[in-house]
Amino acid sequence: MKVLVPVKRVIDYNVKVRVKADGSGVDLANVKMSMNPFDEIAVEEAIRLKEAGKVEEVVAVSIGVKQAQETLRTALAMGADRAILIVAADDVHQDIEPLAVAKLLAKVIEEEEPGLVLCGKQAIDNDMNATGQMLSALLGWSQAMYANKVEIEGDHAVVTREVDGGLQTVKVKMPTIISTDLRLNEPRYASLPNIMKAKKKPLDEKTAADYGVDVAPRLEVVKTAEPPTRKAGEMVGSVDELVSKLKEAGVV
Amino acid sequence: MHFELSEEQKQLQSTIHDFAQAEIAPVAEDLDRKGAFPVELFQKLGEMGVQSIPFPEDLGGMGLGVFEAVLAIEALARADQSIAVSAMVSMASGLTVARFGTEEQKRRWLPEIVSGQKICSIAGTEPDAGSDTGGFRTRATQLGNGQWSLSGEKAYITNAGTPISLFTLILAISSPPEAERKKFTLFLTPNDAPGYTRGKGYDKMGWRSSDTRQLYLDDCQLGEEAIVGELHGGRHLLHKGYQAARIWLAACSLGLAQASLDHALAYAKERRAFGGTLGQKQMIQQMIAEMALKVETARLVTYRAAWQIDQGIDDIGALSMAKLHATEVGSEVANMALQVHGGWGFMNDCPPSRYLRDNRICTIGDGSSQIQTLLIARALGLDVDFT
Repeated sequence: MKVLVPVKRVIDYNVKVRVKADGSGVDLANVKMSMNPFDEIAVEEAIRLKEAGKVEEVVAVSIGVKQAQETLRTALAMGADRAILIVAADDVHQDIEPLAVAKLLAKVIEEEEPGLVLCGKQAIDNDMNATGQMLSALLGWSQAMYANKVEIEGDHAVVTREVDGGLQTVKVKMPTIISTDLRLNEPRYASLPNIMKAKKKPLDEKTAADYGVDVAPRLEVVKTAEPPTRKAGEMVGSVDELVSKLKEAGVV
Repeated sequence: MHFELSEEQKQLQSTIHDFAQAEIAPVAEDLDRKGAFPVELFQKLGEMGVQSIPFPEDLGGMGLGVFEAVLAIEALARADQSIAVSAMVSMASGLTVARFGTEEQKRRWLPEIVSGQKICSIAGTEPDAGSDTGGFRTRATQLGNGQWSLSGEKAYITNAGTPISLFTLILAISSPPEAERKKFTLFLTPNDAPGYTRGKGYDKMGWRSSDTRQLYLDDCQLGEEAIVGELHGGRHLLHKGYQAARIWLAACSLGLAQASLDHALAYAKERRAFGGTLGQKQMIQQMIAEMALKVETARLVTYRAAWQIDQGIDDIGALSMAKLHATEVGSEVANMALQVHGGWGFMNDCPPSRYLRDNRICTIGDGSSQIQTLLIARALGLDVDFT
């Protein structure tokens, strides 16, 4: 079986995000970019399935600017076998919307015919949490979102999902789309020799036009703003004072 | 001429940096306090391939240069100089075997050193002689049956007594006592060789989680297969073969200096005093700018000297400048970072205070700043006499 893992190049989670002066978005110039952490978990899970003998090939796909090549190299260094880069934008500030990404992935899946798609539940830049679900609808495949445990049993996948108030286990027929939650696994560090070997692994470069998908944005960003700064707190001397302050503020 | 790292070098650097910041930096303080060598962490570095960087590919290494190892060691030392030193001593000792050892020595002893699952060391210094080989007493006596008997003591040896120590390269006088001029031979001494014992670890001011001990040799019998390089050629090996350690020690200080700057800068932006942040005060701005300048110059001399080694350029002056400058900068910048932290800087849980203690040995070991200064003077053509 082949696994397809879509990975997105996003602003690194350690970076303190700055909003552009005109409020049109987040400033990405000279900012450290990395693989979306949920996608890293998906790559790790795919490699573990391969190591367990459940999967023969792991293919990573990234859609976005040319620089997403670096993200794919990271996936290859972790252990993916090959990669496909679909260049869909020239400007690092142009985000490709979930529907366009899902349509492009559907085309890739037509060609590659994987038995499983493992994707991050959402990207940490725009938090859409939509691509996996849209892809499932476009393909008519089953889906199991927010996985914290994945087991392959013959032509089914048994997935434990994190849902409100607890865990739910579902059994879905393959081919299927599974999105990863935070606690599914802890991604490995790529070893240095594997980083070097990753340079030699195949990386196909395509464009959105090759697949005939229109990636023009459908959504208009009206405004991006920083969260309001927190006001300074007030020190209280005793529990009684705390309670009376809370009463004053009308919160108890 | 260009100053840009290659894509591969950048990736190697960022991978180790990310690992070191996530896995090493958070435990460095605790390791320092406990003073125990972190076996698991060291082996994790091995799994990542850190120790394999400068070894040839046919020995399981990555076949990269001294320079790439500098990048790795700098990134490690930016999290914890102690573990960076443990790794670099093992790499430099192993590299001495890789360069001068026999095929059999390489096959038998290097695989686990290259994979970072074991650690090795080199023993030059002695209790009453320091690094002055002229005063050494450890002697190897030929027994006639092709065997050698080693007796003596070694002091301040790094990496010899950890649970994963594999061997130590021991420098011993191999010329007969009546010989006019002492000659030395380097012996690969397995940790389990009869007659070879390790003393208990020193109570050190810094590098507390790296293993440092006194070694004892009491009629430790070794065969000819233990000789690394030429018989009587040991001193040359210690100086040339182990040369990488000098530049890697510079890298240890460079990483520590960068960490000091990182902490001082972050603290200056955050700490408020007199109606603003520390970073808004010109005196602090001046200190931070000066620290950055020192770190940058240390990086330049270190990188250049490492690059020269990989190009096969033998430039003792450049090597000594790197060692002298980077290690002195380490102490200066750590001290300045401590000052920026004010009263907290004096506390043991403030990283720069640990940095200051750790770096203190760097201007002493592997040729003190004074020796490096003389070597620079000699490289410039001045008549320098060490006797």
